[in-house]
Amino acid sequence: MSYVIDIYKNRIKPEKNFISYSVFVSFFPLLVAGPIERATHLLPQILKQRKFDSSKAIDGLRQILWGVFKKVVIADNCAEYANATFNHFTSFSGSTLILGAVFFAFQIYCDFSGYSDIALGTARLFGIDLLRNFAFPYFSRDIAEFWRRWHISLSSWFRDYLYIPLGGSKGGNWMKIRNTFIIFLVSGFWHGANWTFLIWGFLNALYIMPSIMFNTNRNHLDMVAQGRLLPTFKESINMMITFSLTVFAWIFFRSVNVKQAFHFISIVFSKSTFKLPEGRAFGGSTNHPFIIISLLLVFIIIEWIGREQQYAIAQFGKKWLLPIRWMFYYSIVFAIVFFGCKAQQFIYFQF
Amino acid sequence: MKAFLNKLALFILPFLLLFLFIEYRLRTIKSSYEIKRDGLVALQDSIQILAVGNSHAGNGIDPMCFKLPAYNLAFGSQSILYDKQLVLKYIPMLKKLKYVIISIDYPSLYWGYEREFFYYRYFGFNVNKRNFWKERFSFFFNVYSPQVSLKYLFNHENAKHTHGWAGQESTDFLHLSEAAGKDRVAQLNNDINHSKLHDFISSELESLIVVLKQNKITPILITSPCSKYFNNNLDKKIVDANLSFIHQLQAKYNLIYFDAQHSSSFSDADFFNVDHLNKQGAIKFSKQIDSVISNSEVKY
Repeated sequence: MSYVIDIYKNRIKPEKNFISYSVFVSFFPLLVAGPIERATHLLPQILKQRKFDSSKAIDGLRQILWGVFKKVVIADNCAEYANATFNHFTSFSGSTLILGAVFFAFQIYCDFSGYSDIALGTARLFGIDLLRNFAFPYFSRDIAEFWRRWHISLSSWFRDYLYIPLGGSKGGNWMKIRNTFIIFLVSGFWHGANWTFLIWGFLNALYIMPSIMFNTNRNHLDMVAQGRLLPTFKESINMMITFSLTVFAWIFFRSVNVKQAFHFISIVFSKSTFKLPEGRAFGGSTNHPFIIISLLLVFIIIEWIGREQQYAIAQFGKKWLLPIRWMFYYSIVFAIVFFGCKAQQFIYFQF
Repeated sequence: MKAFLNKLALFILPFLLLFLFIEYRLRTIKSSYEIKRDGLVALQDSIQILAVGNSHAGNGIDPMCFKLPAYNLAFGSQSILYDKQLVLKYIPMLKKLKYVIISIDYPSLYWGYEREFFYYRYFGFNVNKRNFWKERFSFFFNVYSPQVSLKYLFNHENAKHTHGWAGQESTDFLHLSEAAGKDRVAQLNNDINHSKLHDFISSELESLIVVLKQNKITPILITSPCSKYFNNNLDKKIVDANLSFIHQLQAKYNLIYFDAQHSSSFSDADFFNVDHLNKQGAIKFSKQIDSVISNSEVKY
């Protein structure tokens, strides 16, 4: 669609070479759920003659490895717990459901960003750089920053082909509010014809409203704690609030229908939330809960350390001796083989 | 490009060596199928009671609780189709065999040829004439899962069988709950609803009974105890259909049928999980079956 619009708007010329055009529309890493590419970005790379670059290929393989780890180890393990809690939510306490929603947040992030990493890494093996799709969104300090870091290729697509043609931020506050609601509702609808997605989009529009109205939506353009090891207290609180709001919206996204979502939320806001989460939600898990939580913590730490890179392990251990660095990569492979669980379909294959 | 490929090969080499080592270990470690098969052959001259069936019988029948020498030849997910093949294979060898305990549980009349490779490798059965190239290529990926392989490599639990029985030590309370019962039944219902083998399995069971009768061996049909969490979630239609078929067989062949599915003599502490007994429960259940056999009026 963007190709046709870009030609109509005279941003690019129509591609006359059938093979080049075919490669552009059928570039396999993008086909199923890859980043939404623009002809202006991808076509010139296809047309240019490329030579094998071993450093690019190694970087591509490294990103594929990290993507597979995110999908098979983190997302699929989180999925088992999240599925148990969402499918049988009436049997669990509020605290268990909160943990289930948090696990779903990590599931959807690692599932989709894992796929994107695999797609980007695969393309890089062929010397092609695709658009970055995720930039550590759960380290965001407000919702505006979250949406600059989550599904970047879709967000920027909506910005360029919907928000700006609608008038964007020109024309006063009411125009901005209207356009923001429109793109978030359309974004919700893009995921499926279900009220749950629409409410998810509506909630995100509500969340972002304060920063739109007070013009603070571009307050956090850099990465949190840039150049520092740890965030400040204020940054930590902001990250936690943003993450909590996101998790709350994910409840609607994950629920089968609106009734289930509200029932789920009613349990979350009941007295049972003050109980300890129940281990039996891990009942059908492939791996022991201790292993799953440990892997998740290790994953968060590595993501935090590598948050200023294109992907978490792009520079991780680069200063280490080669055998030690390779041991790190081997341990990722071991985790994939031994802690990966029953294959789950990529969530975004359905959208 | 050449330097890249060399580096890649060097990176992969340790994996390859480790993979070969694991494959060698997995192929040489004695599986429970091999242990139970060898144990049966070693005791062939004394065995008078043979138990077959799935994991319910595999976990729940302790052969040492019987007055007559007994042996447990039940395996996880073992279908009636393999029960029959095993019995036919070993009848000529087990000269003193008097009773065969056949476990018929909730999914038994629906399970087809599960775990084919094991029955091919250890017993020589290959009903579907498969070549098992995937399994032969890698035990690690295609026979056991990586998780199971890991357990086998570092903690080989299968060496503790007595007369074919190992049993579960304690109760896994994580898997003994209403939710776990619901999940387990849903999983079995899924198997049952996708099965097209009900009529074939039923006729194979009947033909097994006929063969046993012809060889003057008494078939004893049993249904193992399950926890209330499991029983409360069963599909009544499936339970009724199972019982109706068993009762038909019972009437037609004058069979002994011991149904302990809902037995009140078993508490949570007797179960390993929602539908499997632990050692304590197995001893209790096995003694009950033994007393059924002792009181049996069927004599040849």
